[in-house]
Amino acid sequence: MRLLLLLCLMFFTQGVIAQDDLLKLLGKDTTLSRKVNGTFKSTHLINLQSNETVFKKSLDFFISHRFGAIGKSSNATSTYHNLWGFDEVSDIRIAFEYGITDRFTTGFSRSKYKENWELLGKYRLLEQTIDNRIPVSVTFFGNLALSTYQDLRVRFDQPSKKAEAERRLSYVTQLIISKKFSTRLSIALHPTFIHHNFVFPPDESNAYALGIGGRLKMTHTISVVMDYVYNFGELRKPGNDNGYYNPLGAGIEIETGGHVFSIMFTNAYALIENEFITSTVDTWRKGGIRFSFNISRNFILSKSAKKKV
Amino acid sequence: MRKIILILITFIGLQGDKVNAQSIYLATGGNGSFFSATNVENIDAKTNSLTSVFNTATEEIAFTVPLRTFKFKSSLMEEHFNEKYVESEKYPNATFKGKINETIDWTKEGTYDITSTGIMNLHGVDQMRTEKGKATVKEGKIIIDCTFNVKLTDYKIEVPKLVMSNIAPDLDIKVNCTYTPYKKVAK
Repeated sequence: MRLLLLLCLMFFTQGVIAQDDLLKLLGKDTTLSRKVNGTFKSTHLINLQSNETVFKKSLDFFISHRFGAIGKSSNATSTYHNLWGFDEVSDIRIAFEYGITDRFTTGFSRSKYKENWELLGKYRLLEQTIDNRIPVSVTFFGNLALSTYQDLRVRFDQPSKKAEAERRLSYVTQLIISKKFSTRLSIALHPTFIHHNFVFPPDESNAYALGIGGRLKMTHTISVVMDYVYNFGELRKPGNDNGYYNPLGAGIEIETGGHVFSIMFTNAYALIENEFITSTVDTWRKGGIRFSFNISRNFILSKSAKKKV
Repeated sequence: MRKIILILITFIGLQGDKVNAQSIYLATGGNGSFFSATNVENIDAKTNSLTSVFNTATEEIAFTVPLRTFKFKSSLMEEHFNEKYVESEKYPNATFKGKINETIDWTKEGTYDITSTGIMNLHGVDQMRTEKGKATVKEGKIIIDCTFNVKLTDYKIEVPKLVMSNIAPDLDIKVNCTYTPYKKVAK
């Protein structure tokens, strides 16, 4: 009799479908094959670009400002007279970047250092997925910069206007390989090739470099960001004492929904890749550090998106 | 005694049969949306990836929605929603598991006011809730509509002070699911 009752109970428990089973009927999470969001908060780390592009039909207005060196730079030493570099401007860059698609961004910028007018393009070749089927994101970055700087050496042999304009061009080609290891930690590697159409000896037209950068989130809005670029080639090799140094930057990034503010310190003088990678002549050791900030503001230009609300 | 057991077995047998074959209803591609209204801006997001299972015999009901499927008017908002607020990498789904409080003949066509009590899980926080809704039985289908309010602090979703004026402290949520009988119970 007891056995029968037991059997009966077993039947009963089988008949009732538990709530957890109800949810199990719903199947697997299909969103895991989606791409990872927010490897970095903005299109830049400190000096280097990040893998992030501007979303479709959005405009990113990006302002960078770099003050003078805090301590000893290649041509001056800061004191209280210039408030340790605060009264000086190393470089200012204003950029407009527009997302043609979510993967493809074009942009335009002007920076003070060597009067560079830049056209840039960024394309996401690969996007890391949540399930790590694609383990890394790879973004291509390329630019073309025209320097209108009044440097007589460019005209030393009285070239034609066309030849002179060509001399003033430089190009950057860069792959940005990045991985979001966790919600907090993202790392990026930047193999870079820079070509200047015209350089002054002993410099060479072609320069190769490898950048490395990363972000560590402290809270949802505040992150610590760092980057460093290593230059290959004898001229800029650390310790060769040719007056060149590798740019290193560190700072804090604050994201406030549409705005991203970054405040940082770096030994780089210029703001665009064409210049800061190859033309950094100050070192952290002597106080050739500059206070610098970036402000990024995102505007949504799509009309249909506005109408929906 | 034997008689009782026999009756019990027959009853359970029938019940079991009913549960397995006819009483389970499934809704896929259900609609969900939320709305946050402030003086500064309105934020709304929609998904049509909500799934739900409803057992008419026991009146147990379960909902789940992958938070990543919510679409916003701007991709940047979508990124912030996933990254900063619901943390969808850690807590990918919002779920509700509960029971309909009213006893309703789910085979009879009509519209019924219902309430459901159960546990809602969002952002890793479980909260016991009772929500009102409307159920319509029509042509062998069941449609459930439900509107409710979620207070962000109840689910430990923090809004930074800087953007507090842009995001409402509580969200209006709408759910709409159409259920059809679930054919096979996988064993």
